[in-house]
Amino acid sequence: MASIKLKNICKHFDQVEVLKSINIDIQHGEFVVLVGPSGCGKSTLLRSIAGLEQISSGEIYIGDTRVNELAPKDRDISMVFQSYALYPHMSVERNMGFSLEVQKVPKAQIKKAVKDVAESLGLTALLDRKPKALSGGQRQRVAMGRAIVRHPKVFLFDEPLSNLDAQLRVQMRLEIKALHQRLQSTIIYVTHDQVEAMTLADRIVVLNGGIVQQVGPPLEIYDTPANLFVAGFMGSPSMNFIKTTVGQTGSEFYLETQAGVKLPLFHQYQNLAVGMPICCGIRPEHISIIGSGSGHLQAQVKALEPTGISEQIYCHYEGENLCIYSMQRTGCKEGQSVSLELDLQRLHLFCEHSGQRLQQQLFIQENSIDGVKVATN
Amino acid sequence: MPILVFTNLLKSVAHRFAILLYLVFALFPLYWLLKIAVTPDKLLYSEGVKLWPSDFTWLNFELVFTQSEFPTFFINSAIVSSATAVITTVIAAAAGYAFCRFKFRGKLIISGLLLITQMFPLVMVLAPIYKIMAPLGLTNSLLGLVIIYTAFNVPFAVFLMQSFFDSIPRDLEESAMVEGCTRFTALYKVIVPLTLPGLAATLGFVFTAAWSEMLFALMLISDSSVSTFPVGLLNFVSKFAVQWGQMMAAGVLALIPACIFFVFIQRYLVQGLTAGAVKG
Repeated sequence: MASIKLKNICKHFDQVEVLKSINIDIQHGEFVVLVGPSGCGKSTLLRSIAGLEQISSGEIYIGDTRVNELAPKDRDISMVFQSYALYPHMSVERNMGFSLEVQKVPKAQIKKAVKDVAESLGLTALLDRKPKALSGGQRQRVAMGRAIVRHPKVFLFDEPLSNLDAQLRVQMRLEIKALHQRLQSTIIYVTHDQVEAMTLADRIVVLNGGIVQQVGPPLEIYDTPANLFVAGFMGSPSMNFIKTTVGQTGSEFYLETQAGVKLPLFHQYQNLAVGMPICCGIRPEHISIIGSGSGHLQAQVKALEPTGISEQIYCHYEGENLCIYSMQRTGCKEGQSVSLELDLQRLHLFCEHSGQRLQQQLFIQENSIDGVKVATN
Repeated sequence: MPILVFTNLLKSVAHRFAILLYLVFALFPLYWLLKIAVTPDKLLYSEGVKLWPSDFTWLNFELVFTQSEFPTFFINSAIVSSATAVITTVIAAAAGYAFCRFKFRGKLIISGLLLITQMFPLVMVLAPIYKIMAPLGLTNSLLGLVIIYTAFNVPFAVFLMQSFFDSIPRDLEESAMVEGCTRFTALYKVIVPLTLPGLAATLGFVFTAAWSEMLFALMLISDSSVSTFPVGLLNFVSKFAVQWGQMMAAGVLALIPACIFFVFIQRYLVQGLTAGAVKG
């Protein structure tokens, strides 16, 4: 196990800059997920850490060692590939013991190490098979077993579940989580699936266009996305955005939608100014459909997606598409006019020009009872 | 349903008949070669066109072995073809791997030049090749033939090998490199075993090309002690007669190594020639 430090990592292919000054500190034993849309540079970053790509500038440390110039084999890492990368001509046993075989570890020792790992992953009965005789989930497990056998400092996972069907993906996700809890190893995991990121990570790194957008624990990223990109990318269904401008009555600020609906603000925000264009974000689960017409917004239902356990209702409001996530069966029909109530405590405000989140102000209050200063929103 | 059964039966019969027709067409020359080889000389012209001679003899084979230089030609051919096949395959595998996996300056130009070499009719370069080889003492030598055959077979073999390497996912060797291999160990422990069908296909292709080549052999070799068998076969054509029986017997014998070779590599060859077609 080891920590990883990435300092000012830049990478360009010819003229195209794919990684722009990446700085991340990963703690010993931490499970970090790199997430972002296709082409955001997450796999390139992972491959750079593995040594499979040469970085253009910056420094990579694994533990205390600067590994920029080290070959992949000397970095003491294991990698699980999206395609599993099992050697088709070798049995499961040889696949799993390959790294030890290369290191010229005695055969008896390899056999024992492979047997132990195979037992823990439920692969004992498959050791003599070739990869082509395995199912997708079994192949995935062999690939993980191969990575575990040599006890590396760091595990790298490159979209390992992308080739599996939905059910198997959930199962393997749990297995990976259990694996991390058992081994307490440092893991960097790349995915474009934000559900995977949310469920597995200790910390998530959201990347877009080769730039780190936000780093933080999953719920922090979900609850306080740093910018419009993170807000829109993290969460399924994704956050709704409504174009508004800031208004003021007395000392109270409010947001005014393009249709003239006023949404009072329950928190104080830094740098808020009257007339400022604001992109107001609200999660689908924070909008509810109410029977009477007394909600904040009047919208029209465009489509319904019942999943059994919940319902997603897509509405049209003043040129914007809004998604509502309801755990109740609302009984709405397509084309129906509905009244929407927003949970105004849960609004996310983003500057429309910069896309950055407007931070809520912290007030330092004197607690009158015990004289301790506490910060409140 | 009887109609469906009948249609299926008809389709199956037609299918097999078509294959049979093709086989007859393809194998008839070989059959004729064998038939002439076992026909006594006196019956060759007297019996007309018959599918099987009324008399049968091994004499032609005996004469080829005992009274002609065929064994020498045969050994020469085997040396030249095997050496060419091995050397070409090694060069082509190395070059094909480089073309497939590495980025380097002039890659496109080199690739284009390789392609250009395939565009010239061989007859055009015969004289210049002779001019180059003669002062180097490489005429009348098996080494000269090996060099020329290798040179002319390498470009196609490179493209062939490159397509095999292309069909092997990069993840495999990258995985091996992460697990402790250098690029070279990853190549020979992981990639080479997976390229065996490709290597066999290239080996087979080059071996056959060299085995049956006559143009350069005829031009560069004048001494019968270093002749290969395609040139040697011409010895059976004399000023006044053609020894058909012996020539055909020699032809049958020449086919044997190529057949044995193909029986051995057939499994790899079929895999190999289709491996690059579909990326899995």
